[in-house]
This record gives sequence, C-alpha cells and structure tokens, in this order.
Amino acid sequence: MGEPQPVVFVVDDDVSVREGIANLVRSVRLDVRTFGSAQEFLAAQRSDAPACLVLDVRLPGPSGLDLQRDLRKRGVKIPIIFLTGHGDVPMSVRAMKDGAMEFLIKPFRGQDLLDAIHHALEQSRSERRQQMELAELRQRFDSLTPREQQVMGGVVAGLPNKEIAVELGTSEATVKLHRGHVMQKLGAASLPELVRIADRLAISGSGS
Amino acid sequence: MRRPTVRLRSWSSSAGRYVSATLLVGAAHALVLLLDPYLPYPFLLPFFGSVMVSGWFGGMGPGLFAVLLSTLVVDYYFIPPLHSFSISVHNVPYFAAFVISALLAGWLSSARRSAEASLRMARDELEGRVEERTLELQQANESLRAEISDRQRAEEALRTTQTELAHVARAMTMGEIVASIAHEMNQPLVGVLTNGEACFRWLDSEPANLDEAREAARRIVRDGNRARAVMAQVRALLKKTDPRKTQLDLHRVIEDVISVVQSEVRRHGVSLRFEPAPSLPPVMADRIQLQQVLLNLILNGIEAMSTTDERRRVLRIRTHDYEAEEILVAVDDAGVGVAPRDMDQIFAAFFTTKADGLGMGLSISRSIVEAHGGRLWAISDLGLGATFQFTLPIALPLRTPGEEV
Repeated sequence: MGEPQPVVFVVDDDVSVREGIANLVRSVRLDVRTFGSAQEFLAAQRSDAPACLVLDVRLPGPSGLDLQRDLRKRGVKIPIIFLTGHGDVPMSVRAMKDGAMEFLIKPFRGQDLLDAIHHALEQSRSERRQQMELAELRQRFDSLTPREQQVMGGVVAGLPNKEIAVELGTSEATVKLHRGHVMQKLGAASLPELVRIADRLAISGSGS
Repeated sequence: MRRPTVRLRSWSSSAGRYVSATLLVGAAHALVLLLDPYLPYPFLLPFFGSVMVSGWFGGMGPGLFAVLLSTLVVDYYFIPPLHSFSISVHNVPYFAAFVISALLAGWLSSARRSAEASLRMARDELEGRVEERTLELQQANESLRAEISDRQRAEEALRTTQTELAHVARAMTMGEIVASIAHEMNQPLVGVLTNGEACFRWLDSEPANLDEAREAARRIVRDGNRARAVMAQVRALLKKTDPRKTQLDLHRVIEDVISVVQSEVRRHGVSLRFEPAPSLPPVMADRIQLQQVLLNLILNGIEAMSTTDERRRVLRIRTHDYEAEEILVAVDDAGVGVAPRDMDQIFAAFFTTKADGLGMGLSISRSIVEAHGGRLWAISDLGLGATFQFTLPIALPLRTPGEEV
C-alpha cells in the first residue's frame, strides 16, 4: 500500500527563518508548509500523512509551548522539533517532558535540523503504521461472531478448552472449532501472538 | 457734544434751583414788559421759556414753581382786570390755556431731563462695569497664562523624569538588551545557514537546480543584509551612550536608583538600607551610566539573596570618602557570595553563575566605572554574602588661573 507523501510543518513568525527552513526541507525533496503563528497552523487542513512540526518557542500570541499543549489536548499526535533563541533549561525540560522530539538552539546547523526532521518523520511513520494496524485488528476483531469473541476472551485469560466449554455450556470440540476461527481471522499463528493482539486491542479476562 | 454736568452741579442745591426759577420768571417778566410797548397784545412766550428751562435744569419741583410764579405774574399784570389776582369770566379760557400750556411745558421739560439724566447714569454705570469686567478678565487671563506656563514646566519636568526612568529601565535590562540583540542576530543567521545548506543541495542534485540555488543565494544575501542592519543599530546605540560627565550629587543619584528598585526590593522581601557618608563632595560622572552601574549591582545583590533566609535579606548601600580624591560606593548583600575560583572571572564578558544570566552586567559596569577613572571590585565570603564596590574621582573645583596648585 502506497504511503502518502510526508509533510513538514514549520511555524515561526520570522520570515527569514521560515523561508530558510522551507528551502532546506524542499532541497531534500520533502513537502513543506509554513505558518507565521500557532493560530494559522491550527486553522490549516492537515491530512493523515506522516508529518512533523518545526516550532519556534517564541511566537506572537500563543507560544510554541501553548500550541504543543493544545495539540495534545486535541489528541493530535505529531512529533515536534522546537526552535529557541536561547537555551532556557527549565523550558526545554518542560517541552521534552511534554513529548518534544528535539530542542534546537538558534542558530543551528542545517544538517542537525534535517536529521531531527528525518527522525521525527520516521517516528510519525511508525506511529501511523501502528495506528493503521490497530485499526485493522479492530476491524478483524469486530468481524468475529459473539461466540468467537467469548471463546477468545477465555483463551487469552489462559483457560483450558475444557473449562471454556463448561463456562459457555458447549462441547470442547465446538470451542476448538471457534478457537481455530479466531486464530485464523485475527491472523495469529500461535497462542502468544493471540495474547499480544488481545493486549493491543485492550481485551483482557474472559467472556468480555 | 458738551454735557451740562458743570451747570448741573451749580444747580445742585434745591434752594438754588428755586431761586434760579424765580430769577428766570423775573427775567421773562422783564422781557415781556420790554416788548410790551411794541406789540398789540402781551407776548407771553418768554414765561414758557422760563418754565421749560427751570424744569430742564431744576427738575419737576422748580418747573412747577416757575409755572406757579408765571401764572401769578401773568394773572396780576396781563389778564384783565390788570394789577389784581382776580380774573374776568371771558378771560378764563385764555388764562386756563396759559396755565395748562405752562404746566405741560414744565412737566415735559423736567421729565425729558430726568429721562436723559437717568439714561446717562445708566450709560456711565455700564461703562464703569465694562471697565471693571475688562480688568477682571485681564487679571484672570494673566493668572491663566501663569498657570499654563507652570503646567508646561511641570510637564517638561515630568517628561524629563520619564525619559530618564525609561533610560534607567533600559539599564535594568542590560542583559535583556544583549538577549534582544542576540535574538535579532539569530533570525537572519538561521536564514543564512539554512539557505546556504539548501543552496549546496540544489547545486549537488542531479541535474543541478540552478533556479532554486540562485533563489537560496539571494535569500542568503538578504538575511546577511538584515544582520548588517542590526549591527548598525547596535553601533548607533553604543554611540548614544558616550559618557556625558557633569558634577553630580552622588547621594541623589543613589536615592533616585533606590526609588526605581523599590518594587523589586519589596517583591523579593529584601530590606534595603542606605548609609550615606555625612557629607560628600560632588563627583564628575555621567548620571545615566552611574545609575546603570548602581542598578546592576543592586539587582545582582537582590538576586543573590533569593535563597537567603528572609530575616537576613539585607542589602546595604554605603558611601565613604576614600583615599584623597575618591569616593567609594559599596553594595553589600547577604547572598550566596562568590566562589574564590570565580572571583577572577565574574567581571569577564559572558561569564555568569546565574541560570538565565548573560554575563554582561558586571563586565559593562566595570567598563563604565573605568571610563570614569574609577575601579570596581568585589569582596566575598562564600555563603555569607558579597560586597561590590567602586570608586569615583571627586569633581575638582575649577581653579582660577594663577592660583597656586
């Protein structure tokens, strides 16, 4: 499946910085979109393509840190590379705690920014992949019959077939049959793999 | 037009006015007698004249008095039977017409006269009032003008103080100026570096993208020029702060600075004590720059005590006569102090022990003091506090030529 082109978002109120970064990013064949303020960025349409955000700490209106918090509140997961004029230690610690990828002090080397961007896009990609896998798993799980979901609950809870059969009031052979379907539909090759899948889907215990 | 004020005054006593009326009637009688031989019948008009003149200058009373006299004289001498006050029946209408005419003449004359007099009085009064009001207005104008110039002076003084305070406030943020310059330089520098790197990449790509490379190079030059403009501004800023030395009362300068830092002092729970020497000669210094040094030392002292127990948070500013021709200013704090190994470096540019300091304050302060021919140094007990002190040469009195030096 073809992955959409990754996008680098740049938010900085200074035109020299904005254009310089945009030009550098384009020179490594990446799409770039620039914004002068946090509000402009929030108002813009964003696709679900892998992306990262190059964000100046000091902005007119809401600061870069405000934008970071705002995005987190909205559930937008985008790796952020912060730019700052001076290395303010407490501030950078706070930003990193809030999940910033990188903290670059102006003026930085172009290569350092590109490295940070590649790293951030890689993280965005893998995040995106996981999201898609999870969505697919969720879909597969939803395709199980209620009986099969009950059997799966028992299996991942570590109950033997016999016990599951007693609990569900059916025969052991039937349980085995359902169990086979579950493994097949979820694409699990082994019991540990099925448990891991259940984990990711946040299914635990029996009969859920 | 000549006003009869003088004559009016000579008529002013009422007896005089009645006497005048009598004389006038007498004169009229004489005139009538004088004309009588030449006329076929008595010519009585002069009596009306005397009545009118009496009424005019004497008022209603003398006018009526003249009427009475004229009536008696006319009845006695000219109305038959002559030389008697009795009147024959067929002469009654003639006599009555005379009396009525005389009464009317007297009344009209005096009424007209008093109307004119009151009009004149009103006019005079009005003129007086206008003069009075004009004077009042002039005085009001005068005091208003004085007030305006007072206010202008006050505003001038206020503006001067504000300008000075703004300057001091700027000094307060000496570190911030440097931070702002750094920020202003940073932005174009980021542009230069990123565009430069991009330019290489456009040139190195297969095939080379010359348009993009050219565009990147254009931006490099643009951002470089922007940095150049920032530097020009910095140079202008430095030029402006050439010391302008004047004779200063050092204690007043210190008091000014103390008033500026009051809020900072309160906010940090510091008690500030000023211990001036009993009397000091003036110093030669640039006031603004001296304020900058004092501010920097005071704010440093306050900051150094942020972890000191609140009861010990005392900042002392002392002044002393020092050596022969110098004054010493000392700022003592009870803060963290300076480590011996840092002592040599604290006055160096960009050296700082603060988390967010830029290491410019003390270095600039020392260069200011040295530009004034003084010295700035520190003494410290680590953990107990520090004293930052500087000397300034006193202003020498101007010697008159020929005086022994």
